[in-house]
Amino acid sequence: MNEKNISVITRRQFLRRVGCAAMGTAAMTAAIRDLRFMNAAVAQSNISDYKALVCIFLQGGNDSNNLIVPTVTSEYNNYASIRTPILALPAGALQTLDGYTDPAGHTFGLHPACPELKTLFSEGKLAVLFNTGTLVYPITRTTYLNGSGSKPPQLFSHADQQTQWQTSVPDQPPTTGWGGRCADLLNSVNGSAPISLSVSLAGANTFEIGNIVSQYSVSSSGAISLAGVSGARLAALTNLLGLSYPNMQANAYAGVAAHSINTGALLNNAITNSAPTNFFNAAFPTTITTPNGGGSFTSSLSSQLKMVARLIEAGNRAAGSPTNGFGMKRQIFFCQVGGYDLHTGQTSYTTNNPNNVILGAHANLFADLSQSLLVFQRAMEQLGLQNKVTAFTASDFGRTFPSNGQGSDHGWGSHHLIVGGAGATNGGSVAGGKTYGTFPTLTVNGPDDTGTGRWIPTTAIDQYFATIATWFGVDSSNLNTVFPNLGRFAKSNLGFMNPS
Amino acid sequence: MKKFWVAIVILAIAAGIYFWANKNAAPKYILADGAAASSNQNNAPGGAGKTAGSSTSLINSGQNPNAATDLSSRAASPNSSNETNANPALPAATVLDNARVAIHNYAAAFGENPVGNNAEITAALTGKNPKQINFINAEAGLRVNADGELLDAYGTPFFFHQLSGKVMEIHSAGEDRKMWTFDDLVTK
Repeated sequence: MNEKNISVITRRQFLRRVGCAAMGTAAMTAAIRDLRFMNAAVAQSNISDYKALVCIFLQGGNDSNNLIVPTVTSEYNNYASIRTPILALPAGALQTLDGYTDPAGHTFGLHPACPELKTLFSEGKLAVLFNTGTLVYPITRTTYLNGSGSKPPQLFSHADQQTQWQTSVPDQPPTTGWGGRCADLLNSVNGSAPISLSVSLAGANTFEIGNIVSQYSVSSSGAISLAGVSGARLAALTNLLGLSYPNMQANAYAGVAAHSINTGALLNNAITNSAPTNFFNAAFPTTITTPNGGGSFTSSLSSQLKMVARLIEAGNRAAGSPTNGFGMKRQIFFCQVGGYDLHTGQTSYTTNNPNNVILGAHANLFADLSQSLLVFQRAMEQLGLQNKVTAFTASDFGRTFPSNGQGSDHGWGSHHLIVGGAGATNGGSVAGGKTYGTFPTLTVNGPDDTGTGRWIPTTAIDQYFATIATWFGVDSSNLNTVFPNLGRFAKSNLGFMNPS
Repeated sequence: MKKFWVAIVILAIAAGIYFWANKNAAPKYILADGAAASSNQNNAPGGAGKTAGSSTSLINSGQNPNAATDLSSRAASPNSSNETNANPALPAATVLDNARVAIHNYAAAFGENPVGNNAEITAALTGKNPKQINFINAEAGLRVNADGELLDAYGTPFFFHQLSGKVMEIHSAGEDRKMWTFDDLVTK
C-alpha cells in the first residue's frame, strides 16, 4: 500500500516535499551552527584583558616581491635579472635587515621606501610571513599543473580573492568573515559596550561580517552623522524616532535610526574625551613624504589608523563617568588602502633615469604603509597598549615575479607583515625581528611557480589568521569553528605571536 | 506513385543530413600568428610588425584532443563569410568584442569566467574545460600564437584583467602594440 502511495507522487508534490526538506535541513544546519557559536561564546566569556586586532587590507594585490628582497649575492642577481631594470630595486638602496639570517640561510632587504619597517623589525616589533595565500588544500607545482590539486575558485580574480582572504574559507560561498566569526565568539566579553566589537574605517567589508555582531562603519573623522542635521533639527528628529508607530516596519526603522544616532553621539563623545587632547594629531601626520626624493601626499592610511588609535584608547577606557570610555575587552578594526593593482606605472623607471626605479606609485604606497605603521605602533606604546594591539596586512594576492614591461600582473602567494609589541618575556604580542614561513625559490618554472612567476603559497591564510586569532583569545577548541579548513594544513600556529 | 514521392522525400532528408554533417565536420582553424599567417594578414591593422610568436602555420583547433563541441559560432562575427580562415579585415574593436563574447559564452556555460594568464584563459576557451567546448574560431578574428595566447587584431596578446569571477576586463594594446598607452582598446 505504501509503495503504491509513493509511486503516485506527482512531480510537483515531490519538488514541494524536497523543497521543504531542504529548507528544514538548512534551517537545522544554521541552528546547529548558531548553537555551536553560542556554546563556544559562553566558553570564551572568561576573558578579562583588553586586545585589539587591526586588519590593513592592501587592495589590488601587493607586489610583495619588492617589499622584501633577497640579498645573498646569487639570489639578488637572480632577482634583478628576472625582474628587469623596470622593477628590480638596486641592492645598494635596500633597507637591509642587518644581522638577520632566516633558517634557510637567506638574508633580506626591505624596499628603500620602508626604513620605518626596518626600525620595527630591528626592535622585534615586526614579523614577516612569507608566501601566504588562499589554499583549499596544500598544493604543489606538480599537483597544480596536472590538475589533481584543488585550487581556490577564481584564482587571480580581484573580487573573489579579496573575499576569500576575508572569509578564510575559499571553497565555500561567502557568508561570514573570519573577523566576524571571532567577534561572534568573543562578543559577550564586551558586556553592554555601546559600540560594536567590529569597526570598519573603510566601509562595508566581508572580513567583519558575523552571524551575531554587525560591523559599525566610521570615517577617519569619527561617526558618520546625518548631513545637515544638528541642533534643533537633530532633537526634533530624535523625538520623532522615539514615537511609537503602528506600522511594524516604520517602528523598526525608527528604532534602528535612533540607535545609530545615539551610537554615533556616544562614539564622538568618547573620542572627544580621549586624552591627551592633541596627542593623536601630533602622533599621526596627515602628509607622507616618500624618501629618496619622492613626493608628498595626503595619507589615507595614517588618517584611518589615527581613528583606530582613538577608538582603541576609548574602547580600553573604563565606561561611565568620569572617563566616558567604552570599557571593552575586544575590538576588531578594518582599514583598507587601494592602488596596489599596478599593472603599469609601478615604478618611475625610465631608460634615462634608471635609478628612479625606487620611486613611483609602489614606493608611495610602501612609504605610506611603513610610516603609518610606525606612528601607529609608537602611539600604542605611548598609550601603554603596545602589547595589546596587533596590526597585520592582507591583500588580494601577490604579483607576478617577472615584469610585464611596466609593472606586474596578478599572482598568488605573497609576503605579509605583523606588527605589535615586542618580546615574549615582557608580554609583547609579536615574536618579531624574524621571518616565518618559507621564502619561495624565485625562479620562473621553479618549484614554487605555477609557470609564470606566480608563487604557489606554502602557507595557507587559514594558518596565518588562526595564529592571530589564537593570540586574540579564540581557544583551541573553537579554532576549527572559526577556520573550518584549518585541519587540512600541517600547523595551526605559525609561532609569530607570543602566547598571552 | 505515393511511394515514389515518399522515397524522394526520404532521399532529400538524407542528403540534407549528409551535407549538414559535413559542414559541421569541416575543420576550424586558428591562426598561429596573425602577422604572417596569410598574405592578407598584413592588411590587418598594424601590419606585420611586432608579433608575439614566430610560427606562421595554421593551427587546427582540432589539435586540442578535447575540443569536441564548438560554440564558437555564438561569437559575434559581422564579417563571418569565410568559415575556415581568419578574417584579417575585421576591425580591431570587433575582434576585441568577439573576445568578450567568447568569455561571456564561457561564463554562460560554466557559471564563471576562465582564470589565469592569457595562455591559460585561451586554453580554457579552446577546449580545456569541463565540457571540452571550443569557444573561439578564426572567423571571429580570434587568433592564437605559438605560445597559446589569444591575439588582438594587431597581433599582440590580449591582457585579461580579472576583476571578478563574472567581470573580465580585456585590453588590446592597440595599433602601437604597447599595452597601457593612449590607443589601447578596453572592454569588459
